[in-house]
Amino acid sequence: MLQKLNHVGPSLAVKFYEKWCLCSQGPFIEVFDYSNGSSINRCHIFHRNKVHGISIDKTSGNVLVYGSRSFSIVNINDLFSKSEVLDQEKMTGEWIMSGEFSFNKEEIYLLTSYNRVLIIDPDNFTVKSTHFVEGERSILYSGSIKVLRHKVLVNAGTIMNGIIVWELDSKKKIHTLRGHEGSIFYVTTSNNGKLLASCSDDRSIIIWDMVSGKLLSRAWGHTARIWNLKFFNDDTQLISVSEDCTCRVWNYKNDELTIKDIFESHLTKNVWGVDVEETNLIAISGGNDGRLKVTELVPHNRSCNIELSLESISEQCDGFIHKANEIVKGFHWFDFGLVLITSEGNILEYLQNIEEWKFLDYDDRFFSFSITQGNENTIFFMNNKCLLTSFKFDKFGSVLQKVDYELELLTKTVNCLSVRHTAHFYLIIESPNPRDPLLMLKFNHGSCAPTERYTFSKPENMISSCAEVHNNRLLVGARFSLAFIFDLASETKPPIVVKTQAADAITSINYLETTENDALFSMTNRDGTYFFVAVDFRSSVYKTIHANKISRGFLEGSFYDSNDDFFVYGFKSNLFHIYNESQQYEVFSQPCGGAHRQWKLFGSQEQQQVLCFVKNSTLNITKIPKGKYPGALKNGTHGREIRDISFRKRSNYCKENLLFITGSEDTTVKLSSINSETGAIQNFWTLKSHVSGLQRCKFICDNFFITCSAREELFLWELNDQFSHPYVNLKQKLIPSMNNPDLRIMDFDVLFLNGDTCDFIMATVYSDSSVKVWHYFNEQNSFTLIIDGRYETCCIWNVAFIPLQNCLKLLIAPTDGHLITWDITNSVPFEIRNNELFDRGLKLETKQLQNWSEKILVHTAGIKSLDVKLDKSSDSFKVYSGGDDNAVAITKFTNNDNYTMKAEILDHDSYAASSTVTSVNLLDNDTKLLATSVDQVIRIRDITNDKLKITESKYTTVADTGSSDIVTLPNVQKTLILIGGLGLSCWRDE
Amino acid sequence: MGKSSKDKRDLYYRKAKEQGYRARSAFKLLQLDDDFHFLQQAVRVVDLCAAPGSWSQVLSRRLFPQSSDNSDRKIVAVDLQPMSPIDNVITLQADITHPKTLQTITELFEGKKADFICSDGAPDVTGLHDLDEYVQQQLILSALQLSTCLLRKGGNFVAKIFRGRDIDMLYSQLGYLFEKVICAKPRSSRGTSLESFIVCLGYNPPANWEPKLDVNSSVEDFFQGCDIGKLRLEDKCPNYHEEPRSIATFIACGGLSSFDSDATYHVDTSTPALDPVQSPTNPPYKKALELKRRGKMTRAI
Repeated sequence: MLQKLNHVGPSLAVKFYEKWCLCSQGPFIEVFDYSNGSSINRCHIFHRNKVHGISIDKTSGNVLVYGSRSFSIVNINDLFSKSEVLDQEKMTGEWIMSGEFSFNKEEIYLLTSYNRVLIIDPDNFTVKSTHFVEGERSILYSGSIKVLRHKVLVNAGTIMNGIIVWELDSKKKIHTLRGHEGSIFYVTTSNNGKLLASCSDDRSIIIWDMVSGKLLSRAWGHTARIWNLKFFNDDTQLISVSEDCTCRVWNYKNDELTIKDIFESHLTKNVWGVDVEETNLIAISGGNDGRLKVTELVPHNRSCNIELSLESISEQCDGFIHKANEIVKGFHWFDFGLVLITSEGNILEYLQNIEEWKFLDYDDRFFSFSITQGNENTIFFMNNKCLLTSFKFDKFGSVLQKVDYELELLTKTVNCLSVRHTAHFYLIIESPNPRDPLLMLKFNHGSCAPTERYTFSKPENMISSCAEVHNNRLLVGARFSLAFIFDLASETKPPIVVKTQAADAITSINYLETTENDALFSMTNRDGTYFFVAVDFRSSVYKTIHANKISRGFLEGSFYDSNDDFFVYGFKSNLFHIYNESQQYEVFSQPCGGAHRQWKLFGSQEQQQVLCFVKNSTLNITKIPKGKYPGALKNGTHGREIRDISFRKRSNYCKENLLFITGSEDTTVKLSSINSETGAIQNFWTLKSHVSGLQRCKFICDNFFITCSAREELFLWELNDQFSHPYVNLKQKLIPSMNNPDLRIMDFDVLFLNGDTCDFIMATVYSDSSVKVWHYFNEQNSFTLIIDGRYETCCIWNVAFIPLQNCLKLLIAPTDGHLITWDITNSVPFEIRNNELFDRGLKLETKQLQNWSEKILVHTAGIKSLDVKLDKSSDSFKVYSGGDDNAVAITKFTNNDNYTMKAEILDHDSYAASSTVTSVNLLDNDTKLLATSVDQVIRIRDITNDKLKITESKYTTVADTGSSDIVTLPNVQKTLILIGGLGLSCWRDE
Repeated sequence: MGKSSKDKRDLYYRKAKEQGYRARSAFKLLQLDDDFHFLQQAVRVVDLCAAPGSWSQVLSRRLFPQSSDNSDRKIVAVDLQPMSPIDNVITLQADITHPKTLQTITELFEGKKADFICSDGAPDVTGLHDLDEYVQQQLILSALQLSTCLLRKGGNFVAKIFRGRDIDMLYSQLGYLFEKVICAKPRSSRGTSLESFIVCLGYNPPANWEPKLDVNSSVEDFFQGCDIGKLRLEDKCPNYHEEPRSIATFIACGGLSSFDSDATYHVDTSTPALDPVQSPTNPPYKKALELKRRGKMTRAI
């Protein structure tokens, strides 16, 4: 029996209720406590239909839920406690656009897609009457009902004729609001009933006067269609959500709508629903990605605590006279406040408790050039003439000590980096003179004088940019994506040089953890790439085990938070931003004029982070607000269709969790884990190397997987699970044969050689009918083309290798509905014995694909998916296929002699589904066949007698159902099933 | 239909321009007719949701071959959008759900019934699969309600569908009005797209059912009385129940010799791309695009 474990998919309706949030996902409503993100209950509302809207009557505790042609009136307590209320589902004849309770709560109103309102008695569900405006019944894309004390207004958003506002009782049209172009996608009345907000295909928002029907204001900003609007804050603000994945807050004042905030809250593409909790000013939004995002509207992103020019500081600061052209050169944030140095050598201090500026010192040795570093309550200034001056403060910011330290080992000084450790603090000082050594000073915390000094000969090409100290090693990040590892115990030993695949300077190195002999470091590169590098200090060997790139902008640093989410920060256009890379959303952004400015991020994420930067010669200090609420109630998955899914089948990742990958239309591949007991999904990485939508992705063994797409992209990835998070690195790419962006690699199959999981052969099939076979040599990390050819001109959707005793067959399934096989035994330079391939050192050369050997018409349209079962006798195999012709078939290929086969269709169901069959998987020791289709039904067939016999079918909420994978859970004799499409659903067959 | 790099990868797109069709969808109707021959004997035909007019072009070329007597043949094309003229086609800018449109067409046909009616219309797709499928089915039912008033008994109806989760309900409904309902997919329609065509052969309405267009009744109302199997608007909202569904026979059209719209063809790109037969229309978001181009849509805050 199929049991549904979990479903992640588009969330259309979200609603705050007291301290909870009701969120729809498919036919369910899940209740969350938004203060801590915990899920209270998930209640199944409709049999098939998705929940599109929720309306709550707080007095009676009744909730009106509607979606498609279904509606239900559910007691709020049931939503908090029951797993389903399916018997309460009612139906109407037309799509429900909006639903509300009447003012006295004795009736409910349902606005249908034909601009009619059904007035229903909620006690017995009789339709008391149907209201509409004579002659106005064109189909709607949106609509809302506004229940006021003395009247009920209906706002109908049409396709061609703007917005029709009518009064329910009198059935009289009040306004026809024209001003938008294209279909109206949302229309809503303000809380006081005086204003109307609307949006359409033209991507603008219009505010209308409900009395006069006049257009009051029109605002632009969203770069795609807008799906939902809501007034809040006494109708002075409006929130909008859009296909552009943003959530925007607008101010409405003096008849003008202006943008206030932009939040990038969801993944490509579409944000459907939004609600605002007015007391705490937080918003909840639901997207196509299934994410339920909590956005704190206040505290604002940009609550700059201080924004001052030196000139205005001089007005408040006795003893400091600001010179023309004097600028801020450096600063450091302490618990008591800020210490800064100017280009003239003026040293100033800001005490945050008393909000006052103090002049500390003037030192002309720091004229024009200085570098500032700080630690505990000590600040260090270095000039370019080998002088290091430090000030030590007490905890209130009073100077205790000033110390000058001559860097006599150097002839000049150009850069000073710092590393803070639990035990010590380090300064790493670089000279522009190549003959000078690289100097490292070690300090006790709070000390102005170093306790130890290290010198290293400076590598020729090193221009330092960041540093880290770990395990008696100094790691220096540098320009040209280089890092150098010096041994503190042996200063003369040449450093290990770490080369990473990026274009710019390394901006941060952080030590993370050590397992066995490998120490793991994270690194960021200014060009937007980040890396995880494992270093074995004993053997001086390093390995990049993860590399990825943010979509846009420059990276300056990274950290893991206490929930094990990985964050990166840096600059994107003119913003500084902090981004949750694990879950893919921004947590903080601050306009700062863009990269290459003077800036620093102080503090830690656990306590208080402070961002200081200089913009237009103005000093800005921003305390980064710590979120009071969880960033998301649910993290979701891809925002577009999942085209393929693959489990790592052989081993569990961390107890009952299994790793899997998903490849999506959104061009990314996600690595996630799923709990086989609960179906709970955790996202680890979103891999962004592909530039077009994914065709296929597949684990070929425990530590390798392959992904492919258009532009002939095929990537081999290596998985590393020795550390506390799994890491993935792009190991090799297939080199494209031509520059054709449309040439897609549709599918691939892999067969390992020599009985291990090292070297393999791989078949690839293409949209131009090409068929290729490659050899992968692990030791050299190289692909060599060994067979090249073409079937006909049609696109090939599937390929499989079939080793049959001492022969090797290649099977393809193209759009012409045939199954075609080749015997390639003599075309591959390997020995084939008992269904296995062995490398006997024969020469690799590219052979032409011969003529096919068997061809049989199985489907009347393209074959979308297949699975192959080798018969025990090993002289025949069966192909289970699903097609665009709605059919499922079993075809058997039997050996005639060594080279030719007999092909016959054993069973064929032309009516296997009412729509395209998109994936098939053999289940339960190949006794059952699972098929998914776009009609959103999962069907399991018994195939034991080579006949297709339906045993079970279940409806799935995942629309555009397109992929599936299964894994047998070894200890419990159960099968875990993942179904992908627009969303992801998890099932267990037990 | 623009002039773009599409030329390189989409053979039907290229062919459409070469043969003077306004859109590549012309080949879909051509391939459907090659299999079903519904245009062979047709005298009066109607093209609904016809803009930009590629199906009307096909109808015109098939019904009015040169050097034959076509005097009694008539093609009427209807759309809410304006359409540039096509030889032998009477274009109407009108609402297909309005009784006046029915009246105009009936007058044009001099009271005679139509042999064939088609619709290649599709609504704005939102990305909400269930809503998109519903709106598409409502569009088909709108085309169908006009068709039931126009078609002769035994006449044929063809419309674009998306094979989603409720398509089997539509098959079931159409089964009440036609002898045979087939789901056909021409080779020119991509295998990766949910698009297919419903081919309804042999119009045969229930006896005693008189189709009547009324400005105040919805599509659902219209088919009440005809036992089309859909829920009726009764006094009481019923509990959830499974509605009749049936699976239609699937037929792939166009033959394997025709181009595969999923395939990548390596065409000679040295020949210059042809200009589109008709320029693309102005989208509603034209101003938004313009603002974006001028840098007015960047994230300044």
